[in-house]
Amino acid sequence: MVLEKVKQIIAGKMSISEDEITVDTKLKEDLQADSLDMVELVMAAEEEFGVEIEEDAVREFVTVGDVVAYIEKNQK
Amino acid sequence: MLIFFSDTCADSQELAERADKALSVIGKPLIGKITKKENGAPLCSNWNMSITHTDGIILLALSSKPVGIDIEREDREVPSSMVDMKNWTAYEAYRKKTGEGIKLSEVREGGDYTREAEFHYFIDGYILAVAGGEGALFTICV
Repeated sequence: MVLEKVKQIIAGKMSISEDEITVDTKLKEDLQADSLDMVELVMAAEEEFGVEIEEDAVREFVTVGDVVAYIEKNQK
Repeated sequence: MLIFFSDTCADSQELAERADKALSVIGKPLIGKITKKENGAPLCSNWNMSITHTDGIILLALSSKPVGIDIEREDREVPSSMVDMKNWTAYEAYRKKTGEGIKLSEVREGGDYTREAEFHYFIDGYILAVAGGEGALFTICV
């Protein structure tokens, strides 16, 4: 499931527990993700799911759910 | 050029207010209100400005020339394409100086950005990259 894998990636990169992450968790506001975190997350997600995530899309990512929705939409 | 920093400010506007007290003492133009460009970059009327923060420390650079700064903990992971934290901070600082912000395509491609910045290690465990600016660097804790 995409959400589970995304939660795993975020938990790993940001050293937090998967239990703390929900579909509504806001990357910047709740997790304090900075630009390096976002880049690491996006690149890890790209590798995991075999998608290329567009620059403009990344700017629009607010919640974990946004990332999941994008991946689900663009997965081959 | 000047870099003001603090670890007790809630946000960059608060840091700017403290910096303005110091600036008025030395008779320099004040920062005043920080506004935002469309891409999120901070703007003030009297200075070229760049802001960076990490782990509760905020830094604010002021210069008469375009400037970009980035501070990071040295031991953080960076994308392998960017090689190391020195190159990463140089890249961020450089892209902040040019006013464009980081681009995923450039990060993926990698490249050596270390000549775009100078590096400072005055806070233990952290690397500060400064791109652009001019003259001697003064760092002031407020």
